[in-house]
Amino acid sequence: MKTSVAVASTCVLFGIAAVLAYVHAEYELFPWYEWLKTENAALVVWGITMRLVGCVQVICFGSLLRQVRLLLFLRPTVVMLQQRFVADCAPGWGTGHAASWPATEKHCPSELSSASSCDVQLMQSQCVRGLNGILHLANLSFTEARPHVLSAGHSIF
Amino acid sequence: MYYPSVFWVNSSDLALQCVVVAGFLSAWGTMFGIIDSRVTMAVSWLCLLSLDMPAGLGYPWDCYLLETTFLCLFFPPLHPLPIATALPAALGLGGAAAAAQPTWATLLAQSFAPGSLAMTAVPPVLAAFLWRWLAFRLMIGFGKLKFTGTTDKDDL
Repeated sequence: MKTSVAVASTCVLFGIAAVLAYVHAEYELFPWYEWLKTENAALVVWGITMRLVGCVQVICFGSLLRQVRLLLFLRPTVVMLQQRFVADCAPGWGTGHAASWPATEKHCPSELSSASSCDVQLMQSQCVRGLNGILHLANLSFTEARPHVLSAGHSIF
Repeated sequence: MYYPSVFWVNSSDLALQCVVVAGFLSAWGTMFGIIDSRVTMAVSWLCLLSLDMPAGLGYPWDCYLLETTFLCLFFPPLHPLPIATALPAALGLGGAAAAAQPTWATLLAQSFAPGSLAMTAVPPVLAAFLWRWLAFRLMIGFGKLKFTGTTDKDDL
């Protein structure tokens, strides 16, 4: 089905191109086409193309600039939350032994729990999700461990 | 970090910001043709390459931008836009010549004239071919994904 749709749509596109070529050859409806074949037009088209590449680069670097400023601003919070997470929720986190997290005795920080008796498994998963969300935003790069992260080839954003 | 990057030299916060700002300024330089566009493109490419792995620029358009920027290194320079050449005088750096400057509207109109936007020479044949090949791969690649989807779960 997908293949037939792809082939059919390609045939339609080629058909449209053929019709346009015929109309152009028969009625010369596109006078700018002749200008488009000149060297002057090539210079203009290439010039506009290269400036558009510059425009896309401006957007890309502008976005990166905002990210960098935001992440540098967030870093202290990320470091604090990471330390609290490791201390309160997952003592084994970051050591390669996450599977050995305590299942019954550790409790999350009180402000993260609305119940007096904390469901440890649930709260741990909430902690993991919450921290992962923050780290995804700030991406762990701007912690003190950045040289290690960089050397490991991980993302710094 | 395994991949080539200017962060091999320094990965401090300041270096991180400087690389992004340098890329940002060089991209503006390319748009306005202030300096030789091959130089600005080289700076942009170096900054993009340095940020590629650290910043996780792994989306297809990021890769295409990196490849496009590299191809632009082999293109002839651009004409400086009139609005960019008039900027020093408008800022009072041009001395007495500032009084004879045309209005901003005139400069804008001149800048968007086809002659101003043009390249100084026709690109080399190989670079032009590789550019067209890149555009072809872009169109055919994304067009194919529209029909086939990106994962096995897509049922388009």
